[in-house]
Amino acid sequence: MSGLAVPANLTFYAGQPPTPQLNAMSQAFSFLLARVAFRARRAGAGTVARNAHTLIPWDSVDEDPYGGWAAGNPAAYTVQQSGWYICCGTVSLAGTGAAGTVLIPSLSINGSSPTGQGTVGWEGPEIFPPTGASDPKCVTALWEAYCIAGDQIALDCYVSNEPSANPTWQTTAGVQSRIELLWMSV
Amino acid sequence: MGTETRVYLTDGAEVWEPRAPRTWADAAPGVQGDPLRAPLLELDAGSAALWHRQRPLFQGMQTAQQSIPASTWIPVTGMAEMIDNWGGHSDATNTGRYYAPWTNSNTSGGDWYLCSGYVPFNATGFGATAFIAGLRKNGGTVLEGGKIPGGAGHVLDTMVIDLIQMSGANNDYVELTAYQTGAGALNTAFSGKTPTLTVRWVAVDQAWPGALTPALPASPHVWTDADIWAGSATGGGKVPANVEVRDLIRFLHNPPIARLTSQGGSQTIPSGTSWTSINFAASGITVDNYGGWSSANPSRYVCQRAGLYLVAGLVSTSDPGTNSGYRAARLLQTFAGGGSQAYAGWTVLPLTSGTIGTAIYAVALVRLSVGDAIETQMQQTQGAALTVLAAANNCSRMNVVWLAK
Repeated sequence: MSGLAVPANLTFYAGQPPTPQLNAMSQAFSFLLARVAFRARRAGAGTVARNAHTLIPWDSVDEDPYGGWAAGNPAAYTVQQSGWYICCGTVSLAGTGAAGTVLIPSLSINGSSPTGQGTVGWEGPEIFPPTGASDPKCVTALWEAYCIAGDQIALDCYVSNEPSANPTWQTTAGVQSRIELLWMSV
Repeated sequence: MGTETRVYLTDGAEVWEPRAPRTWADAAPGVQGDPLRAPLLELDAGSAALWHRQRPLFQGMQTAQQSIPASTWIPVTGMAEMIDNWGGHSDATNTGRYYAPWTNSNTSGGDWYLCSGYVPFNATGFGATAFIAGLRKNGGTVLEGGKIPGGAGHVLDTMVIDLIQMSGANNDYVELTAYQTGAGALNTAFSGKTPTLTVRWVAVDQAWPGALTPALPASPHVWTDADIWAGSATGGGKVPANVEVRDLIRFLHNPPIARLTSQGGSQTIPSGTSWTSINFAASGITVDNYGGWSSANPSRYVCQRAGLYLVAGLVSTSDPGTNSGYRAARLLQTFAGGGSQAYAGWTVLPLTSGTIGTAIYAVALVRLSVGDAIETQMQQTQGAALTVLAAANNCSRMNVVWLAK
């Protein structure tokens, strides 16, 4: 299901033709069952600048029924229906780390944080990942934030400056960076 | 305390949300059957759409640093509302608390809420200190979330997610809590990041008579003037309202949720680069309304209704004291038709010393088909087995919540 609008409160009028009213009900329930979703991954290789913020460019879209993602602006999901969205974001890197390195995913809406705190987004967990060349370096976060239709949602990846070389996106299936969005309420 | 979820519909009818939908009677010899009437639809469909388009949601953020004493759980206070759509929070009194609304579906236990929060600490260089974010209902046992060390040169930020049952009738509340094992007090961070708490209603009280487990609803059909409104009857153009309206509303009120924990179980995780599934114990199943867990495969939640699920797995283990290697968590989806898909979670260094342990998350929105299984797994390279913690406060957990088709 796609292309449905966020339902208004339903109203039923006696004496009026029932079919349009019943279809308003059907569309409302169809939306509330299916909702707006978006799930994507970063599957391809690429360099991630250390000591910098990088909006993850998605290249493998698993589902996008409302068409909020476009290859021409691959880091952004353009909100198609206003509302509160739950967002699960994962940043995952490959490469040799260094002691004291931190990794932070942030939920970025139009390049800033919905809380007002954060450089380019609402920071999720800040963790110290392992440093070995083959060690996994990954962190997952969960947010819920309000977006207006047309807002651009992105997942920011910050890796600190301790590694001697820039890391790269982790390309192994199941360990890739990813974003998952779902409309939750008005 | 939380507010009652009584609302007035557009026709003036007062409804206490969420409302159990009626069963429509078919016309039969000697039975009139329930006619299609606007007030009845308003009560059922109108009230359900109103509730499910704006389910209770609270989100607050701390607006100033707070001192967290050593080795003492304390609530995170000073939460300013970003949203509180059913009025469960006060910016003036008990500012860390969110009181559940008093819903129609409350019994003695209450409805289920997905609660999540972040606790950043303004602390650098604390590699031997455990930092933990937790959730606490009514001042009781803290449900511990992420437990991670600090490190050189940077602050840290930990997270907690859990399903909590709360009744507005009992004035139940939840609050974000913080803990750290340093030598003295440490502040929360309020620069670039700040503690936050989000609470979202997800399902009714399972003891409520309206908590039923229907089949996954199909999307309602497009009505035509030739359709005939019916109860359960089909054929001859009849559309069964008990399927398209009643059962659909029942499903929205009570979608699949599960809170599986290792509480009461016993398990160790071997060292190495292979993955080990976390087993959940029968005594640790807090809620599982569609029966996705069974003792035959104690690590698995098996999907009973297809959809997009939030799955939050927490792996919580002890540490031996002289700690090394790394700790990693992931979710593993095993497809009913064969094959699997992993969803990577946190990978962290352990505390440089100490036995309090590590707790790390793997979280994803996972599309599950009926029969698919989802598990929480751990990989660790300590060089020795680690014990899965199994107490009420620090157990491993997996929360599963159906969110959409």
